[in-house]
Amino acid sequence: MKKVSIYKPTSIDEAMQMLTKHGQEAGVYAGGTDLLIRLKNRLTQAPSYLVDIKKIQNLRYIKEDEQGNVLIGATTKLSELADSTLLQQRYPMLVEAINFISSPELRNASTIGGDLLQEVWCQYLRGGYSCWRNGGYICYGAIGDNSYYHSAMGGRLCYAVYPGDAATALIPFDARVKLAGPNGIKDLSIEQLVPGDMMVDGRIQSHVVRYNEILTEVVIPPPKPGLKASFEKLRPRGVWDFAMASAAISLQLNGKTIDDARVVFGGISGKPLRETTVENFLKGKQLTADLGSQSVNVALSNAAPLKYNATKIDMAKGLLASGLAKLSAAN
Amino acid sequence: MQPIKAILFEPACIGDAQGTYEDVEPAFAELKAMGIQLNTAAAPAATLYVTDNAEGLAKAKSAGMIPILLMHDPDEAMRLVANNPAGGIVSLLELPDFIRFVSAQTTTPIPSPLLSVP
Repeated sequence: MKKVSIYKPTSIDEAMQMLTKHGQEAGVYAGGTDLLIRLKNRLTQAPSYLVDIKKIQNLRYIKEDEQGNVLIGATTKLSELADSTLLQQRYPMLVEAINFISSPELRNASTIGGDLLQEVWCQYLRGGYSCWRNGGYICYGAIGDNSYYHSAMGGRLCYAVYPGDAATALIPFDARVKLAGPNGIKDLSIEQLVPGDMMVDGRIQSHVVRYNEILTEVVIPPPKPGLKASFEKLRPRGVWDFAMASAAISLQLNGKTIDDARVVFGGISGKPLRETTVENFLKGKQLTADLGSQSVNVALSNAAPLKYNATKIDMAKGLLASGLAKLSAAN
Repeated sequence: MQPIKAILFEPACIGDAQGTYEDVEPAFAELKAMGIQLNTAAAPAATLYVTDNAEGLAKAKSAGMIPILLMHDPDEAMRLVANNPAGGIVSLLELPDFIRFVSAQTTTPIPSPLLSVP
C-alpha cells in the first residue's frame, strides 16, 4: 500500500487548513471504503495525506430542523440511514435505495458523504491503468470492456459511469448539500454536486468539490403532499454490486393525476441522469398501469452506447416501466 | 508531391524576439484564403498530431510532435495503444477538453475553469 500520513483534525477549520496545505496530495478520509481501496491498489491519483474527519464533532447525525427538513451529517454511516425511523417514515424510497448499496458490512463503514463523492469504479482505473483519472490521457473503458462500468450516454474524455446510488435516490426529493470551504458555506443541489465529468483543480472528477472543501451536510426538504416514490436497481449479482442501471422516480399525485415528476437514472451515465423528457411527458397524465410502457417510448432518446453496453439502455427503460407500474399498483 | 493542405511552421520561420516578421501576415492571409491550414505552434513538441493508425503515431514521434490516437474503432484502438500514443480521444469534440485538461494540470493548484456541462 502507498505510504501515507494521517491527520486527525477536530474541527472543520482545522481540516480545511490541512487540505489547503497539501493541495491535491491530500484527501478527506471518513469511511475509507473507496479511498483505502485506491491506496491499496497503488493508484497514482490516490492521496498521500489523509485528513481523517471522523473525530470532528457534529458531522454524524440525522435530525429534523424547524422547517421540517431532514439534515444528515456527512459522516453518518449508511447503515444509520437505513435504520433511521425518521427516514423510513419520511423517505422510504431513500431507505430502500440505501439498502441496495453494497453489503451490510460495508454499509456499517461507508458514510453518506463518501457515497456521494466516491471515485468511479472503472476496472481500468482501479486496475492502475494510466487513464484520465490516474495520470494519463486516454480512456481504456471507451475501447476495452465497457459492458459494466461505462456510460451508455456518451462521455467527455472519461467514459466511466457515476457509481453512487444515494445521489440518484436523493435527487427526486430535491435534496441539497452543504460544502464548507475557506470562503464559507456553499449550498448546492445534488445535481450541481455531481454534474458528471468536471475538471476541478487539474483533475477529472464526477463532483465539483475542490481540494480544500469538505461536504458537511445533506438537506432533504419535507416531502410534498401526495408524493410517491420508487427505486429500482439491476446489478450483476443479486447480493451486492454497483448498478448496471437504476431508476429513481418520484411523482407528486393529486388523486391519479401527476402534478409533478422526477425521473433519475443511475449506472448508465457519468452522472445521475435526470430524464426531463420523461418528467415532462408524465406531468398532467393519469397514473395508469400502461403509463410505464408509454414512458419508455420517450425515454433516453439521446443514448450513445459504447460497443458492449447497449443493454444498459434496455435495462434502464425496463426499470422505468417497472417503477411506474409499482407506483400505479400502490396508488 | 501531393497537393498541399496544411503547413506547420517552426517558430524561427515566423518571427524572432522583436516580433513577427513583416512577410508573415500577408502571406498567412493569402494562404488561409486558399484554404491552407496553418499551424503556427510555438514548437513541434507543443503540437498535437491526431491520427488513427500506427504509421501516423510513428510519424508524429519522429517529427517530435505529440501523437494522439483517434479511437474510431474500439478494437483497433486497443491494439494501437500498444504503440504508446501520448493520449487518446473518442471524438474530435474532445480535443478542446483535452487541451484544457493539459493546461489545467500545468497551472495547479490554481483553480481551472470547469468544463461546461454537456
